[in-house]
Amino acid sequence: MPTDTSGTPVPAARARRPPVPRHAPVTPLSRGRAVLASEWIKLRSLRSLRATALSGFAFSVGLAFLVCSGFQARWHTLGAQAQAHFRPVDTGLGFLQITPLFFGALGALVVTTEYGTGQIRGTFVATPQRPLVLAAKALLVGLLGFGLALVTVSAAFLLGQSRLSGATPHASPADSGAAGAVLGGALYLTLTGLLGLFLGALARSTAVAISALLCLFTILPVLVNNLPKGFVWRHTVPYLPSNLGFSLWHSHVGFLLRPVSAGCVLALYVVVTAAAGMALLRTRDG
Amino acid sequence: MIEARGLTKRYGRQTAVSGLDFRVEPGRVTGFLGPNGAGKSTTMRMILGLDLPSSGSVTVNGRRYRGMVWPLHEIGALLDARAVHPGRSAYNHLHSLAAANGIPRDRVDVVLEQVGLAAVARKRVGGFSLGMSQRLGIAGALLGDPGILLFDEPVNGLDPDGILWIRTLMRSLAAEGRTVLVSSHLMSETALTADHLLVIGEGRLLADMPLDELIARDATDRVEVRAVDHHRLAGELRTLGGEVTLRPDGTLLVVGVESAAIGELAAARGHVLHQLRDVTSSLEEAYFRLTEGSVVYRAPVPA
Repeated sequence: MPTDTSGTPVPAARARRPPVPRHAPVTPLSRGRAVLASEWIKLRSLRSLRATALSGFAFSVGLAFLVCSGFQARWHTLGAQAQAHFRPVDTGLGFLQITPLFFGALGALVVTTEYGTGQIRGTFVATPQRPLVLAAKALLVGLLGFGLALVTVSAAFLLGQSRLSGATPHASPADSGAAGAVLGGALYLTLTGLLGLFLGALARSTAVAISALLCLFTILPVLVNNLPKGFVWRHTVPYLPSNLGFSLWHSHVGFLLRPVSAGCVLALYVVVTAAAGMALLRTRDG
Repeated sequence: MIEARGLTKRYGRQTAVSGLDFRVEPGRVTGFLGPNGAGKSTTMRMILGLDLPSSGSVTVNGRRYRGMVWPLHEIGALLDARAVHPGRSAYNHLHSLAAANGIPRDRVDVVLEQVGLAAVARKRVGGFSLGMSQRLGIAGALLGDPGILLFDEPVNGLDPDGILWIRTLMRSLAAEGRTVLVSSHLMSETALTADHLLVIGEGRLLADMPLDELIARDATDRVEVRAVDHHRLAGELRTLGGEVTLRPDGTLLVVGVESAAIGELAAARGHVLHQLRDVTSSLEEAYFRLTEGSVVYRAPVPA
């Protein structure tokens, strides 16, 4: 018979434990809700995510402020042609060429920090239904990301336009196209956040995921734009994620896709990355 | 109960675990012993559904882990104590795990109290010592009040108080009828905690038996003798039918003659003895016999 440290015998299997208490009937919904609650606790308890979100907000609003203030100050020195081409909404939302990187990084961090710290093993031990974990993260990144994006783009729009006055053209939220541009910009940022999340799930590393985002949004456009301006160029440029985003918020899209098609294609990027991420989650160790 | 059948894991051309068959039964502490790289952690990861077996299977309460809906109610595990996001507080870490399995929030306070971390519950885990991280990991394992517990090297980084605490905890968990599987490379620690042992080496199961039986199995009681004239004594012991080996430091290791008989012989023949001592087999020796397949002392006695 085994003994404890003081030498007293410990009866083996003194009492057979009662069977595991049955849970309330399990439905996919109740399982999903539990995972969502868990992911929400994880998300809100990390300072690094709040810091990234806050810096993305500050960068966007700050850039809109600086650019619009600059135009206001230099308006009279601009040539007639430049003045004629000036679109206050497009200029005010120019930060949307950079801010997607913040959202992409934010989405990636939600999953890659778990891989980086090893926390992901605890997550998967608690929830072996791995695709459910990624789906819950995606739902939260989608909802919270859209909220954050809408606040960011709206605040930047309002602050930027408030700097434009007098002879400088300026837009109000009620102007035609203004609300659409703000909404399109917010949608672009949200989809980028989701793309970052799923790239992060594929890469399982912050460095790799962020490099992939940088490639996709800044390096690839430069490379493609250096192609001879022929057939390949014409049929590649409109489908770059950065240009699909551009279609969503900019008033002058030229030969790029119309906003609705662009949104759909960008969503397709997200769906394809998500499908790859989900498939690998099932079969990969770790 | 945990049950493995033909459990095999290959990484590329390397086989980490090969054809393991075992059952981990409730009501006792099962020690999981093996040298580094023997496949202990790989096996534990497969039990928890983190790695998928290349062939064979392992089940928890009759089901594969990835098919379990609320696993933390049935099995709790401490794998790598440091595998926690350093920016999160101990409380939030446990709360997120609890929420994922529908475990009521007040269990978080209960387990934090149980492992002695209640005072630092709101502190960020990044500032924890290794010992505190181990306690947090154990708290996570206990969260769902599971019938099966897995501990991978739980005494790592714990101070003597902590080691005594975890030893007592594991014994009492087993006494409550739970299944406890604890891996270790510390022989003396395992000898104090485990009732039953699984020993693996190079991915293969070398032994699956009660601790006492493993130690007793082909254990031979030996007598250690230090004598001034060890060469003469060795010869005389051999004529008595003893098997004698001489160690480099001049100590004789005698098998087949009891210490009382050796003492009487020494007195009769006028030997001066400096030491006469029974040597009993330890888990460590049993382990080395298993993993190396032979007794360590083989030095021939010079004529």
